[in-house]
Amino acid sequence: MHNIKSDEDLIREFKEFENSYENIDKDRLLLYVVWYLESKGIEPTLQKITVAAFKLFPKSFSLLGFPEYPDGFTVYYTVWLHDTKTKGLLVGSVQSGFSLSNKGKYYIEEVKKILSGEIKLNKVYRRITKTKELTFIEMLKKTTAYEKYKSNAKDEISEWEILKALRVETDPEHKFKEALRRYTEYAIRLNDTDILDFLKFLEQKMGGKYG
Amino acid sequence: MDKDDLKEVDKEQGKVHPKFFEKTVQDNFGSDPYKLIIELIKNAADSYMRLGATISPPFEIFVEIDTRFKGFMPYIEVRDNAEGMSSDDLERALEYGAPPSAKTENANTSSEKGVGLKDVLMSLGDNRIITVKNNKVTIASKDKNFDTIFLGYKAGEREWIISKNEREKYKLKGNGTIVSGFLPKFFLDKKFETIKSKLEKHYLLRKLLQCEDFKIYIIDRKSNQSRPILLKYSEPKISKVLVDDSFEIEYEGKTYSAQIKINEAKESLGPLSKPFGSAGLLVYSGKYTVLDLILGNYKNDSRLYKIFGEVHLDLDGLEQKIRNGEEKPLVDTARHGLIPENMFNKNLFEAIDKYLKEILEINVEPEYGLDSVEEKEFVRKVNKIYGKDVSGNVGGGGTYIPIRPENFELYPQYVPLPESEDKVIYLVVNSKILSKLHSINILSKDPDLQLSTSKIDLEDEKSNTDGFIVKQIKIHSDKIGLETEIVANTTEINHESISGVIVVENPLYNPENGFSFVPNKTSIVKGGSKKVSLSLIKNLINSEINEIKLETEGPISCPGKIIIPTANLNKKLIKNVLIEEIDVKAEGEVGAEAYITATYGNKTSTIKIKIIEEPSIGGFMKHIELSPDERAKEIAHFDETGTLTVYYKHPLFKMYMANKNFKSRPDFITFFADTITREIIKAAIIRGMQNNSPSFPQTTPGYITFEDVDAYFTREYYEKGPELHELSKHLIKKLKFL
Repeated sequence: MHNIKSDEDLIREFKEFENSYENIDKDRLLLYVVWYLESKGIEPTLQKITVAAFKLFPKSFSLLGFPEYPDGFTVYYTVWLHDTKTKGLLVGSVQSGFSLSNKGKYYIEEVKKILSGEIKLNKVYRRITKTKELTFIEMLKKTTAYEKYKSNAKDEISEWEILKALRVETDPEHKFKEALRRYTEYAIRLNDTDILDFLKFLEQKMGGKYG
Repeated sequence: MDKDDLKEVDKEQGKVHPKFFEKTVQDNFGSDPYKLIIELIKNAADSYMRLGATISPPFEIFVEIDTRFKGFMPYIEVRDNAEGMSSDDLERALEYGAPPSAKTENANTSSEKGVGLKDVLMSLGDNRIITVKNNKVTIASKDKNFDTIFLGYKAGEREWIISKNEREKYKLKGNGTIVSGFLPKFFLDKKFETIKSKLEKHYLLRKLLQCEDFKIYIIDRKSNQSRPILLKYSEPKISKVLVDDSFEIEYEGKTYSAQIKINEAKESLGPLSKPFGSAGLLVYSGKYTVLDLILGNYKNDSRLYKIFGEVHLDLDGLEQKIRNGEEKPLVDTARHGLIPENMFNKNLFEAIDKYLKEILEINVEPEYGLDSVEEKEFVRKVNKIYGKDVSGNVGGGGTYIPIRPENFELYPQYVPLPESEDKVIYLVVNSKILSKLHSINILSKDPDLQLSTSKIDLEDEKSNTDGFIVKQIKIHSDKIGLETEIVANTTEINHESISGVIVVENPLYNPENGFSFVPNKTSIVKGGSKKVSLSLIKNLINSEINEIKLETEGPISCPGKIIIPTANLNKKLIKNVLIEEIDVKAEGEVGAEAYITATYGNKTSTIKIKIIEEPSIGGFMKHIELSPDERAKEIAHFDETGTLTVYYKHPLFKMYMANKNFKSRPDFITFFADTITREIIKAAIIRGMQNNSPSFPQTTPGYITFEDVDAYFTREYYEKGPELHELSKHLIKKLKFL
């Protein structure tokens, strides 16, 4: 029997893409992953695409808070709903595996140029999947307390605005501390230092009123 | 809910038909289920009031909520330490059609007819009432048949001396009453916090919560601490007191006095909204009996969104008429509010309206707005001025091109091209390579795909040293199914770009059954018009039939017929198809659907047309609006959503607006127009820099600096300022009073 490496072994040896890819959308990155697997003679099934995407572009395809694990849901959602059903860049299904469509074969040339830096995109894409953490931090950034904080009107932030910002609209005695802890956890997970500073400021401003 | 060994010891049969109860519950609690809890709290408060001087405040009422029963609604218990009831009192209280509690006549209570307690008990699942009076306890519940079931330990014994253990268990130190049970499903809210918050906002409870004699506590049994939390009503912050006065109401030859207090809140409270809104005047009598929350005849007037206050009525003997008048009662039996037909209320509303009218005339400043049509036109023109500069690369026709190549690239990479129709693709060239390039060749790999040009000459672009050059290339093919490529290359540098093309069937030249609208459904903006296409193949054209009949159904209009040209017909045919364009005008409201049926000989075709809202405006600017917010520090602000808000109550604006006929004064118009112009320019520069627009390159890539914005501002103010200024002046002249 010949000592031929299996597809899985080959994928295990994939290294992270050297150039910057964080600001490129996941639709394009996964198109590249499918092309890359095909170019290596590996059949692009969903499992292989998931692991290959994680190995090649770990910053884009790992779970928030668990960077050592691949985000299979995002890969499935993007490969199937975006690249296959909506954009027609891929053909196939979870059952049959995926391959580049005729349209995808033209688009991959552009993706390769984007990844090599030959083409730049006007739009910077969001790297983080819209998780609960991101949703809540985004909502926090839209509050009047945060707006006043950012526009140097810190003295004008009222207690009510602070409680409203943290969505503690009733029973602050019980809820304030817990809300602050939870938002801090979200900000750490998202590495949002600006929000961490803001939360520290809120804690100081309340001066231990609610524990 | 505790398990105990109580059993049925006696029963009083119900005297009411279930249908009556259903109607009563629906009338009383259907639209506002919080009245269930409030009824119990007010019963407890009334009970304290009946004790008069025999006890002193604070009068405590406890509302305990238990949400731990999975699959059930929350369990509620309302407890007071007031007068309590004997078993005979309780029997009467739970009888339908019972008179009010014995001593209401002189007590300052909410004086209802005796319907509330029974209705609430019947609505509560697994209900129970425990009451202690003169050291004797009575326990009862209402069952589904409206029977009153007395519970106890010995048959026939409805009340007994309460033991120490029972006192501890029921938390009743002296006399008092507990009503408990599961809230009905129509209550909907299941969370403790929600129930607490809504009770604190409910208008019927507002005066009781403000009354210092009463302390109403709520307890979350689910919480480990289960400590009582005092219910509080937070009044809106007062900006100024507008009215603090008293007036009189004439009714049936007698004069009743009333005190009125009207405040202006610091912030808008929104429209009058019962039962949880803060806006409006709370009408009450006695210490805490709320009759209604009203704004007279001005309840929908947005100018009064900041108004709140109260009207206290000295009813002086009219209490009995609150819910039991000979003509129309003052308040309807379900406590939905004051009945306007009642003469007393009519006089009351009239008096209140006078105060509100005066407020509108004196205190409320006029609100301004912009004409929506003018606003849209203004925004559209601004976007036209700034479209290319703000969006980065924009090809002809406003197509946004999202790439910035190092060399040059065709865009898009793949084109589905309808047969026999022109389409445009783009060549984006980085101006940095112009020194090395004179031209770029554009080739079609198949002669059946025709291009408008085979070479893009770049000599004329040499002066363009920053940014990107976008060139259009028209493509055309008559061959369905053709799959080919367009290549852009040059011998001057080693680079090429390829776009794939597939030629797809064009339904205009292949109408269904030879005679058809293409497409067969479309939409038209409300009030707008559109051309729709009707295709007829040559083979079907009959020289004896020279017209196509058009019939409409629904709110659209179009010509009644199309005459088929007889002379030079062949010249009007494209690929042996006659394509007629029909003007259609939408005349209905958004959402309306309409049809046009075209008939030619025995062939018919129908197009479905839907009337739609005008699509959102494309471009960096979406809206411009005027705001009366006085707190704004800036005169105007352009936010991330593309809305430019102008704060017309800013002191600088007020200075101009204080003048008579300010709208036509040149100094005001110039000031307003300049404010708008400057904000738009600033926003366009920032948006352009964010989008890496070649018009606004960043000196430090990745950073938008004040210095950059300032430098571009001066340039833009001179270049685009005059045009924006003129547009703004036109818009301001359309300023209207709301």
